Amino acid sequence: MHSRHFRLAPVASAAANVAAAAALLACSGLAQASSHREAPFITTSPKVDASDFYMFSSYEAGRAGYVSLIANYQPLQDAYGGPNYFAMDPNALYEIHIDNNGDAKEDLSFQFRFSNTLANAGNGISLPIGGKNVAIPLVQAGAVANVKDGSLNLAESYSVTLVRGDRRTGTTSMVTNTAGGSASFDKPVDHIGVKTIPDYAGYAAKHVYNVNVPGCAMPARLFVGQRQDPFAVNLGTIFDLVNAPVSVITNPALINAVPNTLGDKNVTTLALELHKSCLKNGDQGDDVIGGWTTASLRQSRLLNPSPPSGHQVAEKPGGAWVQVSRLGMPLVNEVVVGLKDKDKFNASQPKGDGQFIDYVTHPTLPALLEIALGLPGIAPTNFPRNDLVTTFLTGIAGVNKPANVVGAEMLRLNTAIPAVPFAMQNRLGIVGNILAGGSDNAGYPNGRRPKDDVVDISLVAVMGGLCVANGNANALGFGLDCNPSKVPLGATAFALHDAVDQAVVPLLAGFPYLNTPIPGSK
Amino acid sequence: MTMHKTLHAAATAAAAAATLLLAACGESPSAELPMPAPPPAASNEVPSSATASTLSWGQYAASLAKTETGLPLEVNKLVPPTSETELPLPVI
Repeated sequence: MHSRHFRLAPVASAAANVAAAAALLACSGLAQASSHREAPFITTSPKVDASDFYMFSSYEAGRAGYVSLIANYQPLQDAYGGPNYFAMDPNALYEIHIDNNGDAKEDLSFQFRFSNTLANAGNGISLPIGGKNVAIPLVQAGAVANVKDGSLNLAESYSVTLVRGDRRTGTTSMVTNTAGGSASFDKPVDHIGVKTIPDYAGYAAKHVYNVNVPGCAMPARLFVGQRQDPFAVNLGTIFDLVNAPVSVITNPALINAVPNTLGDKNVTTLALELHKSCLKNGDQGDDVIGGWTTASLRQSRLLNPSPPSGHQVAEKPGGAWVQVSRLGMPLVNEVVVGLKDKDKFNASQPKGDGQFIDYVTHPTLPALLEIALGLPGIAPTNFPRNDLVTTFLTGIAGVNKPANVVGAEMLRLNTAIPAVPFAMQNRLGIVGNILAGGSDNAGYPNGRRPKDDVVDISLVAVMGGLCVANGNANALGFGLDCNPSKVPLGATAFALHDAVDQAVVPLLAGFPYLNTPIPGSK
Repeated sequence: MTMHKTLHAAATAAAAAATLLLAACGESPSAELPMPAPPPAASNEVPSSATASTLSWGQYAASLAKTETGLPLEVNKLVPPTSETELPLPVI
């Protein structure tokens, strides 16, 4: 208890810093979905487009001490997108990385590799038609209810490799099923519709695995499959020069005035839940861990002008892996990094983030908001924006800053701060908690929970809310230059929102937390 | 490939020159002179040397020039090399 109290005190003050930093970061992301189609190249490869990354202390009852890692891919899925739906790319490498000593380099990488196989030894399900057996054109030949269901024409499976050390040259081992020891796991088919899969929630639940992670004493949980997109944002309005009255987006009574534009979309989720002792650098290691997700493709690909029969056989990939997607903190590549460097950012590693520093110290988003809202002179004037640097690149001292931090962009979580039950979570994360005088220090930017409204937090931060909270005495440690006099909006910065409430998005009470996907047919 | 391109360019140039000469004389080129033999058909198979390593594969893939008229490569029997540990090749 003493230890907890010792930590919470700095957390309370640091929470404001974190919140402010988070808000700033979110601000830059304010104008967009977290990372949906955020860079030019990734729009051409939706199967490897990371949309959101979550990392939080598990708040499911009975899971104290566990950390949930959730990486979402393939954004903006329309549920009716058959007949092929949204299988993952078997020619891609999806990864979740953990830095557990603050040096901006991955210490643990969980690598997901997919295999999509047609039934009947690769020939697919056939039906007898006029004396001939002819392959069917759909991914299912009847209702589906079970793992490896016989009605499935396409089997989607995957493996998870744990790499300790460098993600390409480190020591590898396989994650295995506690029941039987297999290193191959099944992914549920997407939610085709309620006639094909009457009980999708029950069907998907059969694909949640208890797994053994080599080197980890505590069993983990694993799920990969389609989910309802948990991200909520007023997307079209934001990108249309914030096409909403200022009186609306500064009115706290209107935080949920308009529908979530992503409310009818699905994503594909990679979810892991591990005990924090499996993620930290030993028992005495730093409680703060950093996390991010990446996806890579083979460097070369020759398209086959005469593909053989089979599934996804129209390309011949070769060469080394090339990273094409990167996501840690939400909204960074969306609204912080300049358009000319978005592909570069997606190919980069945290250890090289110095090349992007100007986008954080001198962000363009506040100035863009001045233009969009027709309100010149409302952008904060504290340069360099150390409040944002703290939030994005180092973490907040006393909250989520590693002891030996190397500045780099990633989501950082203090695993020693206990989880808060869903109903008690502040939708504005640490910033909201500071404003409310509460005790929820487990939210963004101390990690990120599905309920955290990172868009609103970011708006507050980018427009100087953190510096208002920092006051004239540098209460939150953002620097003396980060003070209310540098924030033209003053306390109004805390009232900013996008009129879509993240906190009302439907979620599950426990792992994998994200809601059952929307069906292709109701 | 370089030799082939050179031969192709030479043949094309020769045909163009013959056409221009005949056109200047008011004659149909095909009526008076046989068209030069078409260049030898380009191999549309990937050379085995290209798949010797990820390095050679990357170099080969990078060397493929854009073409509006060429046939695609035949790749059904191709097994490109891959690597889990190597860094990607720099592309300029």
